[in-house]
Amino acid sequence: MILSLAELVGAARYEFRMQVRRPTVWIVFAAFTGLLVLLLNQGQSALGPYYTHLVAHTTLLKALADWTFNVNTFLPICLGPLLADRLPRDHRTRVDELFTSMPAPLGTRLVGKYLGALLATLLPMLIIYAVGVGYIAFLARNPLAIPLAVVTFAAIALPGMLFVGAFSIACTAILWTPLYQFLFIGYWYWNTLWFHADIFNLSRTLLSPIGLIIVMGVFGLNESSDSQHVIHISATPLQGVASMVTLLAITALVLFALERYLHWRQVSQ
Amino acid sequence: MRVAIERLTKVYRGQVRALQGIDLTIPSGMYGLLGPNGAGKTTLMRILAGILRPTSGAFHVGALDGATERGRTAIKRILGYLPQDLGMYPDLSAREFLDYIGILKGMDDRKLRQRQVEELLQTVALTEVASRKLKGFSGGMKRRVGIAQALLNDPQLLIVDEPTAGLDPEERIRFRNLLADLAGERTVILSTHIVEDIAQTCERLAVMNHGGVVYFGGIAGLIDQAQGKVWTVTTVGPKPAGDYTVIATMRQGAATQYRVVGDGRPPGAQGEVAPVAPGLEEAYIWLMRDRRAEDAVALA
Repeated sequence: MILSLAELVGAARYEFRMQVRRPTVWIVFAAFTGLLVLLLNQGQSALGPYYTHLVAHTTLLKALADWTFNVNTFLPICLGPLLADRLPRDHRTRVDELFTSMPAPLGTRLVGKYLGALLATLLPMLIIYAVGVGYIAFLARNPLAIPLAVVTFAAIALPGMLFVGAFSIACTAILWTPLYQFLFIGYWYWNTLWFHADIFNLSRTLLSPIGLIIVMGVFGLNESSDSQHVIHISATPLQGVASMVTLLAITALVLFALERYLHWRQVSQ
Repeated sequence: MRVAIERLTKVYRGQVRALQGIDLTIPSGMYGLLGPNGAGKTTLMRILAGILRPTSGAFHVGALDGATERGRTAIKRILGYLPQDLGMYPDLSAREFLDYIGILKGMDDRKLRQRQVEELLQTVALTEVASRKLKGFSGGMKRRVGIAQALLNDPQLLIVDEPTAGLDPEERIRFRNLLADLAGERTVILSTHIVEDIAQTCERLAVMNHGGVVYFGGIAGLIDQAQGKVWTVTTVGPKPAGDYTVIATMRQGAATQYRVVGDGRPPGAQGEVAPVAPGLEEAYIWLMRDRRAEDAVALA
């Protein structure tokens, strides 16, 4: 898999531009967030009182880790489907033939597409995240909340989002896009939101894309009795780090496999 | 920049033989590639552009070997390709799309790339609409964007596949003139089934049919082959009987004038039938009648 930096950055820049201009990206995130706020922001679970209590009774880092985990539990259900059509789109718009005639390696174009489209799709999620961070910073009266929030996002959310992004780009090389989108939403609901299931669930393993093992192991959220999450698992810091590394490694493997598959498909035409 | 093609074969899945051992040498300048739909022209163009791999055979662009990955990448660096089905991102403007293409062609110097994009937008007369999204462009405007992207890295080899399909007559003439201006030291391969485009711009051509080359050489040589095979028949009666291909039919008052291609004088009275000098279209029709790939004729 050959990568050329200037071409990768250029491809990422334009893929970002195209994705960030899609009204669908913003509408889906806004609508879903609005729905969540309506459904979940009630009674004892209302966000305002909940985080007021959390900030008062735990560390700033844990409060931010909790907020990061909440955002990462719900919002990626928008991310996967919105990324799923980026690769098939090249075939639909017939640019794939033109791009294949260019010297930029397939791997470069692919990684550029992945990074640019993912970053653009994360932007609404980051804005929503930032609103929550701002509120926690206000409650805590502590500007350190902002750099700490960058750390918690990078550690808890980013590995999972890179993982989800890679699968969303790759799977539609072999699956019909609407089918993938349907399966993804179903997977996310069963595997991520349904905490109390007694059957095996990937969310309780190192492959948890919502960062469950990371937030428990590295940030010690399971030790906090003030957190609203009723989760019957524990994790060590080593397991938390292992989860990060595993998610990132599988991301790289998926992208590599995608590049090899597309190369094979082109050669065997 | 000479293109040498040796015994090139392409068999698709399902045993569809698109190319059957083609041997061809394409010199610098404008070179036409003519043939009916399904002749294998687009398959040949895609192989030269590095999009498809041949089943067997080889090709060289200058000293660059198209059989190796390194050779193919080097060819792509000097290649400009305008495909038959030109794809674009509809949400980008013409300027953005060309800039993106420039990046993928390895034009890392941003100022140089942007300058070339502006020059090419001017060349194809799209400066005024360069900031408009491509989804709002007409077919002719998209084709012009297409030729602009093909020229972006100042290619030594330019492959244009059916460039004037769907264009109105003015657009087609503009396009042809632009391509003719680009030839010279470059090699421009114009692949089309529109005879007029080749007649107006090329001196040499190859004619393909059923995956093979049935003629390669000068246009004058191809036309010479059809001398004595083209006739006009003016009659008030039915079309001329016999093995003749009717090229044109024109009403002239009560009579109808047929322009036909065939071997031997068509039946008719002395004043009704007259021989005429063939054009490239008639020569092409005469060639395609019952010719098979193994009867390739080379004329110097």
